[in-house]
Amino acid sequence: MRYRQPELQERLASEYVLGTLHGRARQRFEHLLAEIPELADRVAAWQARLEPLDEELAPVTPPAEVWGGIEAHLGAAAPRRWRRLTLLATAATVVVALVSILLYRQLLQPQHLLVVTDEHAQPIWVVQASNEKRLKIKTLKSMAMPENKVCVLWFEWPDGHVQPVGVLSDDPGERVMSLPSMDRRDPMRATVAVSIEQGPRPPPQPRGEIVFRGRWIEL
Amino acid sequence: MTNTAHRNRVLTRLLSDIATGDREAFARLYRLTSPNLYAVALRILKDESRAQDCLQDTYLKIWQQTAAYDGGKAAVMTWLSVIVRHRALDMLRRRHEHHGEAVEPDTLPSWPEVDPVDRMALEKCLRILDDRQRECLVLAYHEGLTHPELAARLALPLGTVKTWIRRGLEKLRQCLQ
Repeated sequence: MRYRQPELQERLASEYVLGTLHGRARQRFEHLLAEIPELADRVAAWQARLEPLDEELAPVTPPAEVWGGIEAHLGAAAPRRWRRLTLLATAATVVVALVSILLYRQLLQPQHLLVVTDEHAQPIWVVQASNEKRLKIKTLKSMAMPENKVCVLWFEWPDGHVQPVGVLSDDPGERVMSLPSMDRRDPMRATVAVSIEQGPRPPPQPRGEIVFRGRWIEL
Repeated sequence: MTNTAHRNRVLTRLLSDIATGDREAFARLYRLTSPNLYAVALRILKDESRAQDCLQDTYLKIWQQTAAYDGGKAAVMTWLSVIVRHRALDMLRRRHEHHGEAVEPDTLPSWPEVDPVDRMALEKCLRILDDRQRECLVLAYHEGLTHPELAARLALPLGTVKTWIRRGLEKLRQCLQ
Protein backbone atom coordinates (compact mmCIF):
# COMPACT_ATOMS: atom_id res chain seq x y z
CA MET A 1 0.00 0.00 0.00
CA ARG A 2 1.45 3.32 -1.04
CA TYR A 3 0.78 4.97 2.32
CA ARG A 4 3.55 2.80 3.75
CA GLN A 5 6.15 4.79 1.81
CA PRO A 6 8.15 6.89 4.26
CA GLU A 7 8.53 9.86 1.87
CA LEU A 8 4.82 10.07 1.25
CA GLN A 9 4.05 9.69 4.95
CA GLU A 10 6.49 12.45 5.79
CA ARG A 11 5.05 14.81 3.22
CA LEU A 12 1.43 14.20 4.23
CA ALA A 13 2.24 14.48 7.94
CA SER A 14 4.03 17.78 7.44
CA GLU A 15 1.25 19.33 5.37
CA TYR A 16 -1.34 18.03 7.78
CA VAL A 17 0.36 19.79 10.68
CA LEU A 18 1.02 22.92 8.64
CA GLY A 19 -2.70 22.97 7.82
CA THR A 20 -2.52 22.81 4.03
CA LEU A 21 -3.96 19.31 3.73
CA HIS A 22 -7.68 19.73 3.30
CA GLY A 23 -10.94 18.30 2.07
CA ARG A 24 -11.01 14.60 1.31
CA ALA A 25 -7.24 14.27 1.56
CA ARG A 26 -7.39 15.48 5.13
CA GLN A 27 -10.22 13.14 6.05
CA ARG A 28 -8.43 10.20 4.48
CA PHE A 29 -5.28 11.13 6.31
CA GLU A 30 -7.05 11.32 9.66
CA HIS A 31 -8.50 7.91 8.99
CA LEU A 32 -5.03 6.49 8.24
CA LEU A 33 -3.63 8.16 11.31
CA ALA A 34 -5.63 5.85 13.50
CA GLU A 35 -4.42 2.81 11.57
CA ILE A 36 -0.74 3.44 10.95
CA PRO A 37 1.20 4.08 14.17
CA GLU A 38 4.33 5.44 12.49
CA LEU A 39 2.20 8.05 10.78
CA ALA A 40 1.08 9.31 14.19
CA ASP A 41 4.73 9.48 15.26
CA ARG A 42 5.58 11.57 12.22
CA VAL A 43 2.69 13.91 12.97
CA ALA A 44 3.86 14.29 16.56
CA ALA A 45 7.38 15.10 15.35
CA TRP A 46 6.04 17.78 13.00
CA GLN A 47 3.88 19.25 15.72
CA ALA A 48 6.95 19.62 17.90
CA ARG A 49 8.91 21.17 15.01
CA LEU A 50 6.33 23.80 14.12
CA GLU A 51 4.97 24.52 17.57
CA PRO A 52 7.50 27.29 18.33
CA LEU A 53 5.56 29.36 15.76
CA ASP A 54 2.66 29.53 18.21
CA GLU A 55 4.88 31.28 20.68
CA GLU A 56 4.92 34.37 18.47
CA LEU A 57 1.32 34.97 19.45
CA ALA A 58 0.71 37.18 22.45
CA PRO A 59 -1.76 35.41 24.76
CA VAL A 60 -5.25 36.91 24.84
CA THR A 61 -7.51 36.30 27.82
CA PRO A 62 -10.89 35.14 26.52
CA PRO A 63 -14.04 36.81 27.90
CA ALA A 64 -15.47 35.21 31.04
CA GLU A 65 -18.60 33.99 29.21
CA VAL A 66 -16.57 31.40 27.37
CA TRP A 67 -15.76 29.55 30.56
CA GLY A 68 -19.38 29.98 31.65
CA GLY A 69 -20.48 28.27 28.43
CA ILE A 70 -18.04 25.42 28.91
CA GLU A 71 -19.09 24.90 32.49
CA ALA A 72 -22.76 24.88 31.51
CA HIS A 73 -22.11 22.00 29.16
CA LEU A 74 -20.43 20.06 31.88
CA GLY A 75 -23.78 20.34 33.62
CA ALA A 76 -22.68 22.58 36.48
CA ALA A 77 -23.44 26.12 35.44
CA ALA A 78 -23.61 28.57 38.28
CA PRO A 79 -26.81 30.58 37.99
CA ARG A 80 -25.07 33.86 38.76
CA ARG A 81 -26.48 35.90 35.95
CA TRP A 82 -30.07 35.01 36.70
CA ARG A 83 -29.98 36.71 40.05
CA ARG A 84 -29.98 40.03 38.32
CA LEU A 85 -33.01 39.21 36.28
CA THR A 86 -36.46 40.04 37.41
CA LEU A 87 -38.48 37.19 38.64
CA LEU A 88 -41.05 36.51 36.05
CA ALA A 89 -43.53 33.75 35.78
CA THR A 90 -42.77 33.42 32.09
CA ALA A 91 -40.89 30.20 32.27
CA ALA A 92 -43.59 28.25 34.02
CA THR A 93 -46.25 29.39 31.60
CA VAL A 94 -44.30 28.88 28.46
CA VAL A 95 -46.24 27.07 25.85
CA VAL A 96 -43.92 25.56 23.41
CA ALA A 97 -44.42 24.43 19.92
CA LEU A 98 -42.17 22.74 17.49
CA VAL A 99 -41.43 24.51 14.28
CA SER A 100 -38.97 23.57 11.68
CA ILE A 101 -36.89 26.29 10.22
CA LEU A 102 -34.10 25.72 7.84
CA LEU A 103 -31.65 27.97 9.59
CA TYR A 104 -28.47 26.26 8.68
CA ARG A 105 -27.20 24.91 5.49
CA GLN A 106 -24.04 23.03 6.12
CA LEU A 107 -22.21 20.49 4.13
CA LEU A 108 -22.40 17.89 6.83
CA GLN A 109 -24.28 14.63 6.85
CA PRO A 110 -27.94 14.35 7.80
CA GLN A 111 -28.70 17.04 10.27
CA HIS A 112 -31.31 17.02 12.95
CA LEU A 113 -32.95 20.16 14.05
CA LEU A 114 -35.33 21.19 16.77
CA VAL A 115 -36.68 24.64 17.51
CA VAL A 116 -38.22 25.48 20.86
CA THR A 117 -40.60 28.43 20.75
CA ASP A 118 -42.56 30.28 23.39
CA GLU A 119 -46.29 30.94 23.49
CA HIS A 120 -45.94 33.77 20.99
CA ALA A 121 -44.28 31.40 18.52
CA GLN A 122 -40.99 33.16 19.12
CA PRO A 123 -38.07 30.77 18.84
CA ILE A 124 -36.03 30.51 22.06
CA TRP A 125 -33.55 27.76 21.32
CA VAL A 126 -32.41 26.18 18.10
CA VAL A 127 -30.93 22.75 18.74
CA GLN A 128 -28.89 21.27 15.96
CA ALA A 129 -27.24 17.87 15.82
CA SER A 130 -24.78 17.15 13.09
CA ASN A 131 -23.09 14.19 14.73
CA GLU A 132 -23.72 11.80 17.56
CA LYS A 133 -21.34 13.40 19.96
CA ARG A 134 -22.71 16.83 20.51
CA LEU A 135 -25.40 19.38 19.95
CA LYS A 136 -25.06 22.94 18.88
CA ILE A 137 -27.54 25.09 20.72
CA LYS A 138 -28.29 28.64 19.88
CA THR A 139 -30.07 30.75 22.47
CA LEU A 140 -31.99 33.35 20.51
CA LYS A 141 -33.74 35.02 23.39
CA SER A 142 -33.23 35.13 27.12
CA MET A 143 -35.95 33.36 29.09
CA ALA A 144 -35.39 35.60 32.12
CA MET A 145 -35.34 32.57 34.36
CA PRO A 146 -36.26 33.00 38.01
CA GLU A 147 -33.45 32.69 40.52
CA ASN A 148 -32.06 29.17 40.87
CA LYS A 149 -34.26 27.79 38.12
CA VAL A 150 -32.82 26.27 34.99
CA CYS A 151 -34.21 24.74 31.82
CA VAL A 152 -32.93 21.20 31.39
CA LEU A 153 -32.89 19.26 28.14
CA TRP A 154 -33.82 15.53 28.31
CA PHE A 155 -33.94 12.58 25.98
CA GLU A 156 -36.83 10.18 26.45
CA TRP A 157 -36.81 6.80 24.72
CA PRO A 158 -39.88 4.73 23.89
CA ASP A 159 -38.90 2.15 26.56
CA GLY A 160 -39.24 4.79 29.27
CA HIS A 161 -35.53 5.46 29.75
CA VAL A 162 -34.96 9.17 30.41
CA GLN A 163 -31.57 10.82 30.28
CA PRO A 164 -30.53 14.35 31.23
CA VAL A 165 -28.52 16.04 28.48
CA GLY A 166 -27.67 19.38 30.03
CA VAL A 167 -28.73 22.80 31.13
CA LEU A 168 -29.93 25.14 28.38
CA SER A 169 -28.14 28.45 28.52
CA ASP A 170 -30.17 31.59 29.04
CA ASP A 171 -27.51 33.82 27.53
CA PRO A 172 -27.96 34.64 23.85
CA GLY A 173 -25.32 33.05 21.67
CA GLU A 174 -24.27 29.68 20.41
CA ARG A 175 -22.98 26.90 22.63
CA VAL A 176 -21.93 23.34 22.14
CA MET A 177 -23.29 20.67 24.42
CA SER A 178 -21.56 17.30 24.55
CA LEU A 179 -23.89 14.38 24.56
CA PRO A 180 -23.54 12.03 27.53
CA SER A 181 -22.85 8.36 26.94
CA MET A 182 -26.02 6.74 25.61
CA ASP A 183 -25.23 3.03 25.84
CA ARG A 184 -25.73 2.64 22.10
CA ARG A 185 -29.06 4.35 22.12
CA ASP A 186 -29.60 6.59 19.13
CA PRO A 187 -30.24 10.10 20.40
CA MET A 188 -32.07 10.97 17.21
CA ARG A 189 -34.76 8.39 18.02
CA ALA A 190 -35.44 9.98 21.35
CA THR A 191 -38.18 12.45 22.14
CA VAL A 192 -36.65 15.69 23.33
CA ALA A 193 -38.11 17.29 26.42
CA VAL A 194 -37.39 20.48 28.33
CA SER A 195 -38.25 20.85 31.99
CA ILE A 196 -37.78 23.60 34.55
CA GLU A 197 -35.66 22.42 37.44
CA GLN A 198 -34.06 23.73 40.56
CA GLY A 199 -30.51 24.70 39.48
CA PRO A 200 -27.71 24.58 39.01
CA ARG A 201 -27.29 20.87 38.20
CA PRO A 202 -29.81 18.76 36.32
CA PRO A 203 -31.40 16.07 38.54
CA PRO A 204 -31.11 12.44 37.37
CA GLN A 205 -34.83 12.40 36.49
CA PRO A 206 -37.14 15.30 35.66
CA ARG A 207 -38.71 16.66 38.84
CA GLY A 208 -40.02 19.99 37.64
CA GLU A 209 -42.67 20.80 35.09
CA ILE A 210 -42.07 19.56 31.55
CA VAL A 211 -42.70 22.56 29.32
CA PHE A 212 -41.73 21.07 26.00
CA ARG A 213 -41.75 17.77 24.15
CA GLY A 214 -40.82 17.33 20.54
CA ARG A 215 -39.18 15.12 17.95
CA TRP A 216 -36.18 15.76 15.77
CA ILE A 217 -36.63 16.82 12.21
CA GLU A 218 -34.17 15.28 9.82
CA LEU A 219 -32.94 17.69 7.20
CA MET B 1 14.48 21.94 35.58
CA THR B 2 13.63 24.35 32.78
CA ASN B 3 10.57 26.50 32.92
CA THR B 4 9.07 24.55 30.02
CA ALA B 5 9.63 21.20 31.67
CA HIS B 6 8.13 22.51 34.90
CA ARG B 7 5.04 23.81 33.09
CA ASN B 8 4.65 20.52 31.36
CA ARG B 9 4.77 18.66 34.66
CA VAL B 10 2.11 20.89 36.17
CA LEU B 11 -0.13 20.49 33.12
CA THR B 12 0.40 16.74 32.96
CA ARG B 13 -0.67 16.40 36.57
CA LEU B 14 -3.76 18.49 35.87
CA LEU B 15 -4.66 16.28 32.92
CA SER B 16 -4.45 13.14 35.01
CA ASP B 17 -6.74 14.74 37.62
CA ILE B 18 -9.14 15.84 34.89
CA ALA B 19 -9.30 12.27 33.60
CA THR B 20 -10.89 11.31 36.92
CA GLY B 21 -13.57 13.98 36.45
CA ASP B 22 -11.95 16.67 38.62
CA ARG B 23 -13.61 19.93 37.62
CA GLU B 24 -11.36 22.09 39.75
CA ALA B 25 -8.38 20.78 37.85
CA PHE B 26 -10.18 21.45 34.59
CA ALA B 27 -10.90 25.06 35.63
CA ARG B 28 -7.24 25.48 36.49
CA LEU B 29 -6.09 24.05 33.18
CA TYR B 30 -8.45 26.49 31.48
CA ARG B 31 -7.05 29.45 33.40
CA LEU B 32 -3.50 28.47 32.62
CA THR B 33 -3.88 27.64 28.96
CA SER B 34 -6.90 29.44 27.49
CA PRO B 35 -5.10 32.76 26.74
CA ASN B 36 -2.64 30.86 24.53
CA LEU B 37 -5.28 28.75 22.81
CA TYR B 38 -7.58 31.74 22.32
CA ALA B 39 -4.73 33.61 20.61
CA VAL B 40 -4.31 30.68 18.18
CA ALA B 41 -8.07 30.57 17.44
CA LEU B 42 -8.21 34.35 16.93
CA ARG B 43 -5.27 34.30 14.61
CA ILE B 44 -6.85 31.69 12.38
CA LEU B 45 -10.52 32.71 12.55
CA LYS B 46 -10.07 36.50 12.83
CA ASP B 47 -13.43 36.83 14.50
CA GLU B 48 -13.92 37.06 18.23
CA SER B 49 -17.23 35.28 18.45
CA ARG B 50 -16.16 32.40 16.24
CA ALA B 51 -12.88 32.13 18.12
CA GLN B 52 -14.88 31.88 21.35
CA ASP B 53 -17.04 29.10 19.89
CA CYS B 54 -13.87 27.38 18.79
CA LEU B 55 -12.37 27.71 22.26
CA GLN B 56 -15.49 26.29 23.84
CA ASP B 57 -15.51 23.30 21.48
CA THR B 58 -11.83 22.79 22.14
CA TYR B 59 -12.16 22.63 25.91
CA LEU B 60 -15.17 20.35 25.74
CA LYS B 61 -13.11 18.06 23.56
CA ILE B 62 -10.23 18.26 26.03
CA TRP B 63 -12.62 17.41 28.85
CA GLN B 64 -13.84 14.33 27.01
CA GLN B 65 -10.52 13.18 25.65
CA THR B 66 -8.08 13.85 28.46
CA ALA B 67 -7.54 10.12 28.83
CA ALA B 68 -6.33 9.97 25.22
CA TYR B 69 -3.35 12.22 25.95
CA ASP B 70 -0.11 10.35 25.43
CA GLY B 71 2.68 11.99 27.42
CA GLY B 72 5.29 10.02 25.50
CA LYS B 73 4.31 11.65 22.23
CA ALA B 74 3.94 15.35 22.87
CA ALA B 75 4.11 18.04 25.52
CA VAL B 76 0.71 18.99 26.93
CA MET B 77 0.80 22.45 25.38
CA THR B 78 1.57 20.94 21.96
CA TRP B 79 -1.34 18.54 22.33
CA LEU B 80 -3.70 21.37 23.31
CA SER B 81 -2.63 23.67 20.53
CA VAL B 82 -3.08 20.90 17.98
CA ILE B 83 -6.68 20.44 19.14
CA VAL B 84 -7.48 24.15 18.92
CA ARG B 85 -5.73 24.54 15.56
CA HIS B 86 -7.62 21.66 14.02
CA ARG B 87 -10.93 22.90 15.35
CA ALA B 88 -10.23 26.41 14.05
CA LEU B 89 -9.18 25.08 10.65
CA ASP B 90 -12.34 22.95 10.45
CA MET B 91 -14.49 25.98 11.22
CA LEU B 92 -12.62 28.07 8.69
CA ARG B 93 -12.93 25.48 5.95
CA ARG B 94 -16.58 24.84 6.65
CA ARG B 95 -17.71 28.40 6.19
CA HIS B 96 -14.86 29.30 3.94
CA GLU B 97 -15.29 32.95 4.33
CA HIS B 98 -12.57 35.21 5.54
CA HIS B 99 -14.17 38.31 6.90
CA GLY B 100 -13.44 40.96 9.43
CA GLU B 101 -10.14 42.60 10.06
CA ALA B 102 -7.46 41.20 12.27
CA VAL B 103 -8.19 41.39 15.97
CA GLU B 104 -5.71 43.38 17.97
CA PRO B 105 -4.66 41.13 20.80
CA ASP B 106 -4.42 42.62 24.26
CA THR B 107 -0.85 42.86 25.27
CA LEU B 108 -0.16 40.41 28.02
CA PRO B 109 3.12 39.01 29.15
CA SER B 110 3.89 36.15 26.86
CA TRP B 111 4.20 32.70 28.27
CA PRO B 112 7.49 31.07 27.44
CA GLU B 113 6.04 27.61 26.98
CA VAL B 114 8.21 26.67 24.04
CA ASP B 115 11.73 25.73 24.91
CA PRO B 116 13.89 28.69 23.79
CA VAL B 117 16.33 26.21 22.28
CA ASP B 118 13.62 24.76 20.03
CA ARG B 119 12.47 28.23 19.17
CA MET B 120 15.94 29.34 18.16
CA ALA B 121 16.50 26.19 16.15
CA LEU B 122 13.29 26.76 14.19
CA GLU B 123 14.15 30.40 13.61
CA LYS B 124 17.58 29.49 12.37
CA CYS B 125 16.11 26.93 10.02
CA LEU B 126 13.38 29.25 8.79
CA ARG B 127 16.14 31.69 7.89
CA ILE B 128 17.74 29.26 5.46
CA LEU B 129 14.53 29.29 3.41
CA ASP B 130 14.14 32.10 0.96
CA ASP B 131 11.79 34.90 2.02
CA ARG B 132 8.74 33.93 0.04
CA GLN B 133 9.08 30.25 0.83
CA ARG B 134 9.15 31.14 4.51
CA GLU B 135 6.18 33.46 4.09
CA CYS B 136 4.19 30.62 2.52
CA LEU B 137 4.82 28.32 5.46
CA VAL B 138 4.18 30.91 8.14
CA LEU B 139 0.96 32.13 6.51
CA ALA B 140 -0.32 28.59 6.10
CA TYR B 141 0.42 27.77 9.71
CA HIS B 142 -0.82 30.95 11.32
CA GLU B 143 -3.79 31.81 9.18
CA GLY B 144 -4.85 28.40 7.98
CA LEU B 145 -4.74 29.42 4.32
CA THR B 146 -5.21 26.66 1.75
CA HIS B 147 -2.95 26.28 -1.28
CA PRO B 148 -5.28 28.27 -3.60
CA GLU B 149 -5.71 30.99 -0.96
CA LEU B 150 -1.97 31.26 -0.53
CA ALA B 151 -1.52 31.48 -4.30
CA ALA B 152 -4.04 34.33 -4.43
CA ARG B 153 -2.54 36.17 -1.48
CA LEU B 154 1.01 35.94 -2.77
CA ALA B 155 0.08 36.36 -6.45
CA LEU B 156 1.82 33.14 -7.41
CA PRO B 157 0.78 30.19 -9.55
CA LEU B 158 -0.81 27.37 -7.53
CA GLY B 159 1.85 24.88 -8.64
CA THR B 160 4.60 27.15 -7.34
CA VAL B 161 2.95 27.46 -3.96
CA LYS B 162 2.56 23.70 -3.66
CA THR B 163 6.18 23.11 -4.61
CA TRP B 164 7.52 25.78 -2.26
CA ILE B 165 5.58 24.36 0.64
CA ARG B 166 6.70 20.83 -0.04
CA ARG B 167 10.33 21.82 -0.45
CA GLY B 168 10.22 24.29 2.41
CA LEU B 169 8.95 21.62 4.79
CA GLU B 170 11.53 19.15 3.56
CA LYS B 171 14.32 21.69 4.12
CA LEU B 172 13.02 22.44 7.59
CA ARG B 173 12.96 18.79 8.49
CA GLN B 174 16.52 18.23 7.36
CA CYS B 175 17.70 21.37 9.10
CA LEU B 176 16.01 20.46 12.39
CA GLN B 177 17.38 16.91 12.47
